[in-house]
Formats: sequence, structure tokens, C-alpha cells
Amino acid sequence: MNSDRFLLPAPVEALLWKLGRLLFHGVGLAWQLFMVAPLIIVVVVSFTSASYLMFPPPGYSLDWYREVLSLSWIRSAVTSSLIIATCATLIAVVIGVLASRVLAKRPFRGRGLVEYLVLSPLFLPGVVIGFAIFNVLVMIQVDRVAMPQMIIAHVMITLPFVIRSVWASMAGADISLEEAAQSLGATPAQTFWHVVLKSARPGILAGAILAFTFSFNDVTISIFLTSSRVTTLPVQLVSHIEYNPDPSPAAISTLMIAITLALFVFLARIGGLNAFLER
Amino acid sequence: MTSDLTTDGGSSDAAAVALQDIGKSFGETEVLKKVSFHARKGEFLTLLGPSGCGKTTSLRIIAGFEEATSGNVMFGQTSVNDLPPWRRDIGLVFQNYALFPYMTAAENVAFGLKMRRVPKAETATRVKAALAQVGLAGYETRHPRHLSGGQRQRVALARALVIEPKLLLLDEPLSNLDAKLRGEMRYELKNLQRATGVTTIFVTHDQEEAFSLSDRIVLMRSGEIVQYCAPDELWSRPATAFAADFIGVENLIPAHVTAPGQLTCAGGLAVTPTTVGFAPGAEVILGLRASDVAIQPRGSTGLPATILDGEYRGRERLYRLAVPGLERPVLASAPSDIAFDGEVTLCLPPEKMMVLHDDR
Repeated sequence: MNSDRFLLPAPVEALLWKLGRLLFHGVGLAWQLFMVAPLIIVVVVSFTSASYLMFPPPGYSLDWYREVLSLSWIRSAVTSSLIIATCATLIAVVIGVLASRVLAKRPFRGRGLVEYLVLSPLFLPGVVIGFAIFNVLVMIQVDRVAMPQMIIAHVMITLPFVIRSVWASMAGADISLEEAAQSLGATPAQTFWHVVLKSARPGILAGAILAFTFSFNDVTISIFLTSSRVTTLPVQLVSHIEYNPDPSPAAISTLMIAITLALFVFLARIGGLNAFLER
Repeated sequence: MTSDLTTDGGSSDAAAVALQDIGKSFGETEVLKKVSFHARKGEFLTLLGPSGCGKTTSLRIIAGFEEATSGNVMFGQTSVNDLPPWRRDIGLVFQNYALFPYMTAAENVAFGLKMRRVPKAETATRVKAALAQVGLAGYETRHPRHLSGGQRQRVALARALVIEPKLLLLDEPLSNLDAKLRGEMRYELKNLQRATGVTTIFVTHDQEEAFSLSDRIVLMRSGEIVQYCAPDELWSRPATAFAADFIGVENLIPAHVTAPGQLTCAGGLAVTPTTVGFAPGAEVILGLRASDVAIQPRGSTGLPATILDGEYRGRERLYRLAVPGLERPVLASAPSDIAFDGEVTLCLPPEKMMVLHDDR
């Protein structure tokens, strides 16, 4: 009965409710302040006409973009970053989809271990993984690290993102859809193509976006693997910031934000957004 | 198991599909124990039984999704034991319809034709005709999420029928619909099956569906067939107490055969059913439908009885009556326009009494 239930007086309850809403909005505001505001400042500062960092800028120009684009390393760094992220994402998606299919199908012996191994890069610090890969490369005496090594390392660290999201969408899939397809004459290969992949599409896309952005923005692992021949944009940015107290890092950062956003919009356009909305 | 398609002369020649001594075990659990039945060409056969009786497993074995531990599945004169599902040429309708959510109604229906590489123009005509046949003309571009339960059901049926399968398998297709729609779909399903003449195997736990749709019924329980006959025979002559109970015979009274043609019920009441079929000494169950028990005002010839309570059921009222000489109350139904109360007389007609083997 109600007798043992402790009920707050209505005005107190209403006050708590108001406080809760206030807290909710407060957190939202704080997130905007601490997360979005610095990014906006960086973007704004990149258009400054001054040769030092100052907010708000005394005037506006594209000087720093001109400066950045004339840097000797910028084109090759952007190109390698894009190549590495694209290749790593494609490879991780192919491996990830196949691995998820196996994991999402019937349970098998040692599945827990496989699950743990596959996902371990998610909970190991990136520096540790980078250092470990670096050591292996030194051990097998690959002294000059090239693109393939970098791609392999990035596949390793992005694979968990792909598997996580594809596995989740495959595990929730309705097995009777596959059986329906087979009863209608679809071979296992056709069933995989027409049903399994189609059903998992939102998960695959989400995984691919995560993998690409992670690979494209990664510093901790790539920093061990860069060489004079192959380097990535974020790694170069870090060293550039170290030696250049001018607004050029702001321009590079803005370029990175733009590339990541453009890619996201592009992927969302080619059917990703629809897939997300249809679920 | 045979490695290639073999012919078998042992099966009944008109059978479109036959299960021969099918056994199936999942680990230690035996879910089918040497089950044999067949559907004739164009027949509507129902697998009826409570959950866990093996009806769905039988259907999945016919479809090829499960492999039988022993026995043969025959399509006509050919064993299909080693034929994978995608080569069995069956139409299958699932309980949850299993429509592809990312495809429109027309794309769903076209799927089987696409897998068979039917030319585009022909596919378009056949899809249109199939959707029209289930009353969904004009719904071609709808996605399943924009269709009602009944409409999804029809798309699933159209998708299964458009490939002109040798065999149509229906796994409790009506159980997700509400009562009114279920009645309508039942009617349409039967019409559709008659119109196409496709051999159909239907799985259900609903005896009413089984009676209204089937040419023959396979009543199953714990992996075994209890009764395998036409609906009217199951209705009038259930083979055992389980069968009687499952099809809704209300009164099941434990009894003992005392002399040829003579029964004594638990509680002492002696009755003489028209047919007994058990030798003296047998423990049996006396089955009697509530609608076959007549209630009359006190003073008529029959058993004296006292009405315990009555339940209004619309056209009729279902009474529980205490009868001296019977341990448990007897259920009897009577038209609801006359309300009985208190002391009455019961008439238990001997020709309506079913003497049943107790297998419950």
C-alpha cells in the first residue's frame, strides 16, 4: 500500500524537477563552452591577419592558409593521411564484416577469447600499441617505415571500431530473413550479399566513419611509425606546433576539421544517412 | 543417408511430400520420434499440437533448415535429404513474416524471381499479378514498416506464391494478427490455396484454424503423432484423451471398465456408452462435450444435478454442475435465453460418450 512509500510534498518535487532541468541545460551549455568554443576560436583565429595568436583577431586574411599550403611537407602529409585512412578503413571494413559474421553466428568454443583479443585495442592505450608495433618493426629490421606498415598498424587499431558496430547490427538481425531468402532460392553467397550485408549496412557505415576519422586523426600510434618518407598530417601538425608560435597550426587544424566533416557529409550522402534513418 | 537423389517406390504415389520415419534429436533431446505423414498433391495438411510437440521442427526439416537425424523427406518420388533449402523450390511464410525491411513490397515479392534470374519484364508482370492476387494492388512501392500486420502477411504470401512453389509451408502465419483479422485472413488463405492448388503444410497450435482450413490434420505431441485424419473425424472421434482435451472436449472423466460395455466413473456413477472398445478392467477416460450434455428442469428422466455456477457466453451459457456419483463438476452448455438455477436434471447421451485411452 501507499503507507510505506515516502512521498515528497508536491512543491518540493516541482522544485527538484526544475533543478534537474536546470542541471541538464547547464551540462549542455558547459559542453558547448568547453568543446565547441575552442574549435570555433581555432577556426576564427586561422583567418587572422596578424602574425601572432590573438582572439579576437585584429583583422582577417587568408595569409596563413597561403603560408600553410606553401609548406614543403603539407601536400605529401595530406596525401599520405588520406591514403592511409582510406586503405586502412577499406581493409578494416572487409575484415571486420567477415569477423562480425563469424562472431554473430552461432556461439563457438573460445568465442570469449576471440572477442577479447579483437576488441583489446579499444582498451589498451594507443601509445602502448604504437610502441609495441614500433618494437616489432625494429625487431624484424624494417628501419625505414613505409606506407604498408602504417596501413597495417591502422587496420589493427581501427578494426575494433568496425567489429563493434557491425557485430552489434548483425547480432540484432533477424535470422528468419536469411531463411526467407534461402527458401526463395538464394544461395548462401546470395543470402550474404542481399540480406546479411544489407541488414548490417548502418553498422558497416557507422564503423567505417569511426575507423576513418580515428585513422585520419591518430597521433599516438602514427608518431612511432613516421619516417622521412611517410608521415601523417596530425603527426606533422604536432611537431609544427612545437616550433611555430604563429597562427599556421590553426589553419592546419581548420583544414583537418574541414576534411573530416566533408568526408562525413559525403558518406552520409551516399546512402548512409538513409540507412541510419530507416532503422 | 543417400548421397544423391534416389527414387523410392515405398511412398504413396499421390504424395507431393512425405516424411518417412523422421527422427530428430538436438543433443540428448529427442524432438521427433519416427514421424511419418504425407500431403497429397493440392492438399491442405495441418500440423497441429501444443508448443514443443515437434510441428515446427517437422516443417523446418521439410524446408531443409534442419537435418533429420534419421528417415527420409520425399518430394514426389525423390528424396530431398541432401537438397539444400535454396534448391527445394518451396514457398515459406514465417510467423513474423520475415519481409526484407529495406525493400518495397514489390521488391520483396520479386526477390525469389530475381534469384531464379527471371527476365525483368516477366518479373514485373508476375509481381504485379501476385500482389493483386492477395488484394494489394497499388501497394507496390510501400516498405514493410508502412504496412499493417495483415498487409505484411499478404506480401509474405505473395512472395512465397509468386515463385510457383511445389509446396507452400506456413509457420503459424495467423498468430500475430488480432482475432477479427485472423478470421478474415483464414478465409482468404483458404481461397488462395484453392485457387492456386498448391500443396500446403500449415503449422498451428490453434485447433479452430486447423478445423476450418485443413483437408487433413496431423495432431502431434512430444514428437509423436497422436492422430492423423480428416478434421471431421478428429472432431467426432478423437483417438485419445489428449486429442479430446486438445480439441476442446470439456468433460474428461476418469472411469473404469467394469463389464463389457459398462463403465464406472470416479465417484461411482455407472454409465453404458454405445461403443466402449476396451475390455473389462481397463482404466479409461470418458469424454463428453458440454454441448452434448442436456440440462432439463428437475423432474425429467436423467441424473439429478445441482448448478454451481453459469458463465454467460453470448448465444449460450456454460454451466458447472455437481452430479452425485462424480468427483468433479460436469460442464454443460445450454442456450442463454433460458437461465437454469438450483436443482436440475442432466441427460448424458450414451451415443455421444467417447471412451478414450488415458495418455495425458
